[in-house]
Formats: sequence, C-alpha cells, structure tokens
Amino acid sequence: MFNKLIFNIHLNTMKKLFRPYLAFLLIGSLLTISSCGNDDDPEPVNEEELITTVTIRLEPNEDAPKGTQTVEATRRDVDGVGGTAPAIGSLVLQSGVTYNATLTLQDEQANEDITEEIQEENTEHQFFYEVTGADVEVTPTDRDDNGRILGIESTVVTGAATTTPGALRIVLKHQPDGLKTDTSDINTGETDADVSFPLSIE
Amino acid sequence: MLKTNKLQGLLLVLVFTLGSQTVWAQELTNTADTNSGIEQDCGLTISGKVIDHDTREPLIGATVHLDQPDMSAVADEYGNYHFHHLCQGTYTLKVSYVGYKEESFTYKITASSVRDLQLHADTKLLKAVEVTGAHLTEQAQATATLSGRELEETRGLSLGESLKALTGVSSIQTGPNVSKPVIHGLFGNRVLLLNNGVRHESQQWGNEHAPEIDPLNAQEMTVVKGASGVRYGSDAIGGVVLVNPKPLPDSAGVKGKVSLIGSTNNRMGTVAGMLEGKLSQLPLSWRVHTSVKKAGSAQAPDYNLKNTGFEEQNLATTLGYKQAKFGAELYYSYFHTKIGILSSSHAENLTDLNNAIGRERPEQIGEFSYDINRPYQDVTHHLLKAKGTYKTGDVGELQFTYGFQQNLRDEYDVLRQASNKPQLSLKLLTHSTELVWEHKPISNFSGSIGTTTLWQDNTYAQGSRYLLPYYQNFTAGIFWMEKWRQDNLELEAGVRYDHKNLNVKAFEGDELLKPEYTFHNFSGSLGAMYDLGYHLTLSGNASYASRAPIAYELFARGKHNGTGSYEFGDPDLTSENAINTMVTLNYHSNYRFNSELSLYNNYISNYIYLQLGEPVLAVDGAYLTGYYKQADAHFWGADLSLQYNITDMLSLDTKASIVYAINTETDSYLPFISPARIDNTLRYSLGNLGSEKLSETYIAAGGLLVDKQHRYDEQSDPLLSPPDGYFLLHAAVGTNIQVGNTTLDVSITGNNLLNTSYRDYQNRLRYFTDEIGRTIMFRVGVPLNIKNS
Repeated sequence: MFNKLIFNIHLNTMKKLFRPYLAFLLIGSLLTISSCGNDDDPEPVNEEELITTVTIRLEPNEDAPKGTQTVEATRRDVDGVGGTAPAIGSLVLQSGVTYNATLTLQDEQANEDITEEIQEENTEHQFFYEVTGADVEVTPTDRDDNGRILGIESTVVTGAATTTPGALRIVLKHQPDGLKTDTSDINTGETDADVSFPLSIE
Repeated sequence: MLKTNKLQGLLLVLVFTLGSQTVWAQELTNTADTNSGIEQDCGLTISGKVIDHDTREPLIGATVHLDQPDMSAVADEYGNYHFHHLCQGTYTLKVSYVGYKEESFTYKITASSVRDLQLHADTKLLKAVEVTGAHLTEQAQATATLSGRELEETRGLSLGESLKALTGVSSIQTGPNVSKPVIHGLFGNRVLLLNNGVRHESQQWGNEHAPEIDPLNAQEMTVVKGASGVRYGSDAIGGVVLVNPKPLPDSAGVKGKVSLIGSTNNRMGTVAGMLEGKLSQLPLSWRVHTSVKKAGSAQAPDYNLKNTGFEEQNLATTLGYKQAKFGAELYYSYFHTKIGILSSSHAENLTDLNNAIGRERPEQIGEFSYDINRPYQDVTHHLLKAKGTYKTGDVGELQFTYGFQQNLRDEYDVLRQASNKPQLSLKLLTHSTELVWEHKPISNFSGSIGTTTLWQDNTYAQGSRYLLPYYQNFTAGIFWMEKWRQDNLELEAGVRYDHKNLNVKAFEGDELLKPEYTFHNFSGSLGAMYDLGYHLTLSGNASYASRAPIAYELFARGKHNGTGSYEFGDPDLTSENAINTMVTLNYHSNYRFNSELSLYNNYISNYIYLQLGEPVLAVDGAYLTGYYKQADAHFWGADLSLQYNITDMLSLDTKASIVYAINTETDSYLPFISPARIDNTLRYSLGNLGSEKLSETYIAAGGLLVDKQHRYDEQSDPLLSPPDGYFLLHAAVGTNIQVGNTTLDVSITGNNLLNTSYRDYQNRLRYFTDEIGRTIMFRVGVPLNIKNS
C-alpha cells in the first residue's frame, strides 16, 4: 500500500520532470535539423586510378607478308568490379610474323589516359608478358629513365599455328621505393593490372 | 583513495593507542530501559573474543553492539568482550572495526555463553588497488575492471591493447597500432564503448578502425561481459567497455600531474599533462588533460616494420558545477591520430596476397623511421557532452546527458600517382540524448528508468572511393531495470525497446536508390546473485539482445586493401538476436586466495558475418569476395582468474580464458576467435626497501601462453591456416620515490623479453609479418601541487 503510494508520487514527479525534457528534445531536434540536415544527394563516385580499358595493338613489321592485318584486342570493364562482366577481345595472329606491339591503358569513367601516367612514373612500373599454349615470343623494346625495361612497347614473334587457343597475359607491376631493380620480377611489388587475352595463331 | 587510506591509518593508530591503555571502559553505555520487553537482569553473560577470520589475531578495540537492550562493548587488549545481566532470548551482536566489514551475529541464549566473533578484513578498504571482482560487483553479470596499478602498467598502450589485461578480453589487430577490443569472441558493432558516459560513435564496423579514445585520460576501464542491451542499447550483444575519467576534485585548490612515457621498440615518446582544481567561493571544478604521442616504426625481432609509426594528439576539458540538489558537467574532448599501415600489407589482388603469404618477411623492410607514408589513416574525433543531474527529493536522481560527436576518417591508399587527397573520407555526425531517473531503494527495490535517442548522419567526401553510402539513422529507446535485495539474495530484471529508422542513399550503378528501413529491437535481462557464505557468491544472468544491421552490412561495396578482397553488403539483412546466459562463481575477500570462474553461452540467431567467397576478376587480377550473410551462431566459453597470496609479500595472479564459436548452420568455425590463453604473474612487494624515500616498491615477472587456434577450417580461414601458439615473457618493476615535497611514481615494464618471433591469429597482418619484438616501456609520473587552500 505504502509502496503504491510512493510509486504514484513518483509518477507525478516524473510527469513534471519529463516536461522540460520533451522541450529539450524539441529544441535538440531543431538544432540537429538546422545544423546537420544534410539532405544533399551524393554524386556518383568514380573510382580513383581505375583502369577500365586495356588495349594491345599489334602492327606487322615491314618484313611481314603483304596483306598481314594489324590486330587489336581490348579488355573493357567500365563499371569496375561487380556489375556488368568485362568484355574481352581475342587475338588472332599470323604464323611466322614479327609484330610491333603497343599497349594503351585508359580510365573511361574519368576519360583519362593511364599510359601517359605510367610513362611519367616509368622508373616505378614495368609490364610483364606471359604466353601459354602458343609459340609466341614477346620482347619489350622500350626502357625507363634508368635504362630498365618498361614494356609499353614490345616485339611479338609468332611461331607455328595453334590448334587450340592459348593466352597472352599482361601484368603491370607498381614497384615503388626502389623495388624496381635489374632483378625485380613479376612477383615484386603491387599489381596495377593483370589481364589475359585468348590467343591463337593461324 | 589515498586520502581515505591515510585517514584509516590515523584511526588505526588512534585505536591502538587507546586500546593499549590498561584502564578501558568495558561497557560504554548501558541504557537498557525497563520497558524494553526483555526481562531485566536475569544474570546471563555473553562473552568471547573478536578475532580476524583469517589470521585469528584479536581485534583490539573492536566495537560490539547489542540492539536490545541497547548496549555496547569494546574488545580489550586480548580481543575479549562481554555483556552481563542478560536474560534468555535471542540477541544480535553487531561488530565493527576499522578496516573490517561490519558484521552481525545472532545467537539464542539459554545459559551464559562464549561466542567468538570473526571479522573479515575489508579488502576494498585496505588495498588502494583492488583487482577485479571482490564483491565490488553489484550486478549479476560478469564484469572486470582495470584500474590502479594494473591500469598504470598499461599506460602508453592503446585502448584495445590495455584491455587485454582483463580476463576474457582479447583484441583484433591490424599491425602494431590498430587494436579493437574483443569480448567473449564478439567485437565491432557488438561491443559498445562508453567514453565518459557517452556511446562512442565512429566507423566501428571496420576491423582496422581503432577506437578514437585516449586511455591516458581514464582512471578506470570496466568491461561488462556478455549481452548488456538493456542499459546501453540493444546492439550491445558482446558487451560494453566503460572508459571513465576520474571524478572532478571536491576540495578547493589546484593540482596536476605530468607523465612521461617512453618505449624502446618503436622509440615512442608520450607526454601527458593534467591540471585540475576547484574554486573556493563557488562549487565549480575543472580539469584539463592533454597528451601527445609520437612513435616511429615498430621492430619485429628480425626486421623493421616499415611505415608503422603513428602520432596522436589529445585534449579533454571538463567543467563541473555541483550543489546539494543540482549538478552540471560540460565536457569536450578532441582526438587526432595519424597511423601508418605496414607498407607491405597493401595487397592489390589475390596473387599479390599469395606472394606476400609465401614470403618469409615483408617485401619492403627499410630502416627505422618516424615518417608516415601511404598507406595511412588520419582520424579526428570530437566529443561534446553536457550533463545535468537533479536530486528528486530523497527518492532518487534525474540525469540528463546530451552528446555530440563528429568522426572524420580519412584513409590514404598507395597510389600510382602523387596525390594529397584521401581515397576514403568518411564523416559521421552523432547527436545523442539520455534521460535516466535512478531511484534509491524503495523497500527492497532500487533501479532506473530512462529514454535515449541517437541521431546520425553519415556522408563521404565527393571524389573519394565508394565503400559506405550516405545514411541517416535515428534510434529511440526506452528502458526500465530494477534490483531487489534481501539478505543473501539479489534479483535483477530489465526490459528495453529500441526503435530505429535508417534512411540510406546508395548507388546501384549510376542510379541513386533511397531505401528506408525500420527496426524494432527488444532487450531483456534477468539476473540473480546469491551469497553462499561470506566468501562465496554465485551469480547467474540471462539476457536477450537484438541488434539491427548497420548501413555497412547492408550496403558495403568496395575494395578492401590488405585482404585483397571486395566486400558486398546485403540489403535484405534482418536483426540478429542473442540469448546470452552466464554463471559466475566468485570466491572473494579472502586474504590468501581469491578467484572467479565464469561460464557463458551465447546463442545468436541471424548472426551477421562476412563470408569470403569465390574470387572475382578485376582489371588488376583476381580478388576474393566477401559477402555479408546471416546464420545461427553459437559462442561458449569460460574465464578464470585466480589470485593467491603465497606470503604477505609474494602473490601469484592467474588469468585464463577459452572461447568456442561455430556457425551452427554450416557447422563450421567462425574466424577471428581468440585461441585459449593463460597468463601467470608473480608479484613481489618490497615496500620501502628500508629507505624512507621509497614506497610501494614491487617487482613482477610472468608469462603469457597462447595456444594455436585449432578451431578453424576452410570457411573461417580460406587463405592461411592459423599460426603456431606462442609464449611471451613479461616483467615489471615500480616504486614511488619522494623527491622534495612530491612523490614520483616510476615504473618499467617489459614485454616479449625473449624477443620471440611469433604471429598472432587475431592480427590481420599475420599474412605479412611477425609481431613486434622486445618492448621496454618507461614511465614517470610527477604530481604537481600548485595551490592548496
């Protein structure tokens, strides 16, 4: 009985005490709305340093038989990881031909030429080429400012025709802070790009 | 604390002096009145000795009080007391003595009797520093507190590393400087941090996001283990960490303290300064605390950990006003840190990650340096708190707390091209309010009732990497908890309801979606504590807590460097619900041996976790994917702490814990669960070493043994199986030295003294590098007495 009485008294005090709190809450919410009501919508985000597009262009050199076509293959993934799957072109080369190959890297989201960027920091970057399942030899021809291999340009020499397609893998490594040396290899540093094109020789 | 101790010492001296005098009034008062209902002068006697329960020493000068008739006696120089002229009946003797707990003994007397009365030393009062447990717990749920000397020995470490000193607490690390507390296997958003009474709100979801709290400003850190949803918010499924600064001074004057900390491993230097005072005319107190830390790269036993330096600047100011009925407190704290992340931990893709795992040591080692380069984090946290208290008559107190927090997190990735911009820049604003009415015991009930609100706005800087969407979150909660206490038994119960609105603005391609969520979360708890005897308390607790998914779990989308993975949220996640039961047996207040054993069991339905999955192919190679999923999980384990005082000087401290965690749907283990561990420390107190200038000198040595995590599988650790177990030797030495009018406290602690090379399962950088090697830390505290009045 006595407890109940106390409880009722409490309820009354509580009501009184809650009133200023409610007022405070109202003021508080006003404050939050005016000071932080960030109702702006975000802009779509472009991923920085994204490489959406890697293109390799192979021009037959002057010794190639007449009529040998220039070959180009592109790997394009404009929306980055997830979303739409990347589109990957194939390389069909002629047997016994020497090609002069050139790489182009682009960020088509931000409309930037990444090849230029790499050229500017050529002492910290290197392209590596790996061919599987085809008789093809790739030799980088360009050098960085320290005289080390860069690999934007290369010669590609094809051998016998293939029955099943092989692959050409191109890996761009970032090797900063002295990681790029005469002995550094495909396992040194961080990978900036790692793409594979189906490759067949006719 | 020190002050009360001095006072007690004085009282003891006084009592002894008085007690040794031969003339000593046995019966102070004898005001038995003739109408008291007990028959007068029946000629019986109760007598006996008042002795210490443990040492059996007589307690000279102890007061024995008899209620009916109202009589008091004081134990003589042999500890003897006696009451004469008593009749047959039941008598209650209340015995009190300085430094001992007051106790009552009830006897039925039919003839003159001898009854020895045993008192228990009040360990709480006798020792300036009290280790966990010891009847300090006023709740059925297991808690552990880091304070006093134990806390001092962790000064200079981060919050997450400091808390590892407590049983049942481990940490998830990202290199040497980023450490997040793990309680009973749970972490991140499931462990709430209360910084000076305000829920710490930052990007807690990130395993590499350390709490933005300066532990140097804390006087006490308490961990509440297990679901604590009722009082602190329904998302506290794992537990709560309460970081409390010391109370403002209550006596007039100005004083302060300067602390210097140095570490050999990363050549860290820390300077902390504190000034506080109270005005003599007004009931106004204040404090300013600041600390600056600067560290270079840490050292593993065999190599330098390139780019692991950090710096941190902190400021905390408090202003308090206190009257008999009304009190107010204004608190502001600033935290800023810049933390370098190990250079070679930046794996771009799965091939790079596998290359890194295959290496004996990180690819880039370099030499010791204070420089911080990419990748690094730059984090700023502001907290403004206003609190008012109002005494509601004799029945309780009303407390209102408002908190504002701004958390700015910038992360700088390794880039091909030079840039000054962060790649991830998140800004989180939080306004929180809490109104609580705590009522004092009404008959046997005491408790509190309250409401809380939380409003948040999360944005990212335009042009930064997409990882977490814009969102606004509003949570309102209401809770009520009561305790009932009678004799040996205490019961407690509480309920809470939280209503949460989450409005997200997320991109799906180029299209902006604006999904809105509403969550209803209930929490409840039931607990009981029963004193099985003077030394033994059994407590049990069952609680239910329900955590709504957070924006990151729903909408994460982006690259996670360091683990070579892409993380994806799931917009269809629902709340996860935990049913947590815990039993604790506590043997306490003994002067030789104390211990605590906790057993717990936590069923979490719809547990939200990141499942690593099939790699996706990006332009720079293959990435692992991580998808947020839900499944039922089961956590269980035990914590044990033992303290054995071998002699008055030598004591052994043992802490052990083990935790199991499985995903019951796939019947596989959960990742990041701490392996079994045991830590033993021997401590020898040397007192003053015979010199008047020294006091509280001690040396300690011990070892930490951590088992290999045997409970793993392909699903918990797809990349690399857990590393081997390890043993680390640690030691400490400390003393207080009197220099002129001040007393300096000086201590040296050493960790990994054998310079052991090892890797820790819960360190995310275990793929890349060993843990840090031998670390010696030096600490000097200089108290400043500026003005007394």
